[in-house]
Amino acid sequence: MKNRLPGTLLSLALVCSPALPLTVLAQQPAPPQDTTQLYVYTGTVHAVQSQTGSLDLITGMGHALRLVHIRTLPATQTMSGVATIRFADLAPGDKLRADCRMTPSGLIADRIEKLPAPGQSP
Amino acid sequence: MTRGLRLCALTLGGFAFAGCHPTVKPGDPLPGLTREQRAQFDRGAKVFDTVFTPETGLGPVFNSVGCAECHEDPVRGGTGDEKEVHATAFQPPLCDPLVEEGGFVVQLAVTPALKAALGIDSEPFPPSATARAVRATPVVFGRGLLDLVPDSAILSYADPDDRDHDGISGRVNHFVDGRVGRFGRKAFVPRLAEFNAGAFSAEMGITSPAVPTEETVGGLPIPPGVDPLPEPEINQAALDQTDDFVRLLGAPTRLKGTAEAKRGGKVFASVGCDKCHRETLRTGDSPIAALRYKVFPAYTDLLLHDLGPELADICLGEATPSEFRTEPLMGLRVLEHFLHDGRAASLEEAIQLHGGEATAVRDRFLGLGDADRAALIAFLETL
Repeated sequence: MKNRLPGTLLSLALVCSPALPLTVLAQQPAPPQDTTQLYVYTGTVHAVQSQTGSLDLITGMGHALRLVHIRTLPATQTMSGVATIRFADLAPGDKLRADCRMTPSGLIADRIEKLPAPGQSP
Repeated sequence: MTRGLRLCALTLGGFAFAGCHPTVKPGDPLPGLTREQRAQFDRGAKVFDTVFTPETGLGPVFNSVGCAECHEDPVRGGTGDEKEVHATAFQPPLCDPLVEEGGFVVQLAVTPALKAALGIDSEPFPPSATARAVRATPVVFGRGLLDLVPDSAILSYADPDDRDHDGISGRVNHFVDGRVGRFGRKAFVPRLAEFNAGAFSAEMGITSPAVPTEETVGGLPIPPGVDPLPEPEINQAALDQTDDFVRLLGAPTRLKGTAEAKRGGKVFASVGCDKCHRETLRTGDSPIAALRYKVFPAYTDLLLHDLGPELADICLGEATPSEFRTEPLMGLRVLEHFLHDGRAASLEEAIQLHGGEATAVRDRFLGLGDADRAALIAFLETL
């Protein structure tokens, strides 16, 4: 839980505080090295590879968009609101938040939350 | 005239006709800045004017060598004759911004080093694109004011199901993370600072702390040795200064105009142009007093509207190919070409090209007598 706090704060900052500096807002797929730090990505699903449990997420800033490749583990929680959903239920176009950590083999999501479609109640 | 108004007129004789506000010319900063804010504006203008080279971060793929290379006419922050190309793939209901193929902004220039490595003159056009769009250079006056219009206000103008049966059904676009968009011709980008940081990358190929990774070349990584500068290529201070300049650029005060132009303002409303080009918007709270709770002449609702098949090009976010954000008309008088791609050589032609939701309003314009049409154009030329 301790590791989640910075990510939660970052996510809240993204949603709630447009006045924050861009360094806080940045969601780019920079090559993070710290395996203990949480990396939070919010974006639109580009592709889901159910068989390998991975997905490509479109993130970015302004007109500079980037793809982030995220893998999951059997322990990864995939949620929609308070309900648990299957990873395979995710589809291109879904908006989601992924709480990830960097491993030698890339980003691993500990938790994925499918966000309500804009205009929809959570 | 009351004593207060007389005093106002006497003491502020050089100020604009409308109310008791100082005149803002295109390129001027917002009125009422503190000395420090004015200094920030001036510092930002220098970064805005910077001409970048490969040695200072430009490229390897880019559209322009600096902000003012495009936003230059007739003053810094204005328009320019440069055009760029965007491309996406529309697979209804989804819009693919083609990030795997280099993103929807197709950079039209490359550095000599990239040309030597790959033998290309521009980023390859994405093969999966279903549409190509040309984009003219917009003015950036008053964008700090637009940035502070609360999302709730934009949402309150939306009428996606046309419940008021006026034939106009503006709707909100959203960024990839679901936030309400407002900047760009498709209202895709939520915040001004993000638009600016994204432009450094997408337009100039310059990385920053906000966008620390380079653009790809049609989705492929940049060849080794081609990009000499380590990331980020500009620091946060340079990014912030640029943002300060754009944020503090004022919205040009409407020219006093002739009696005809004044009458044209009434025609503008009577034919219904103001249903989308809302005359004023109001900012929310801001630490900058010159931006805080200001009612300003925006002439936009920041919503997407269907303009019909004639103008349709790319999708973006939730915007379909025929949907465009209502263009703010602040600083309209400095433009020589109109619409998102600059295809209209006159204001009259631009109005005639409005279709879709704007059809009825356009037809009312076309049904006006010559005098009223001329009055409306005269009014637009004061903005």
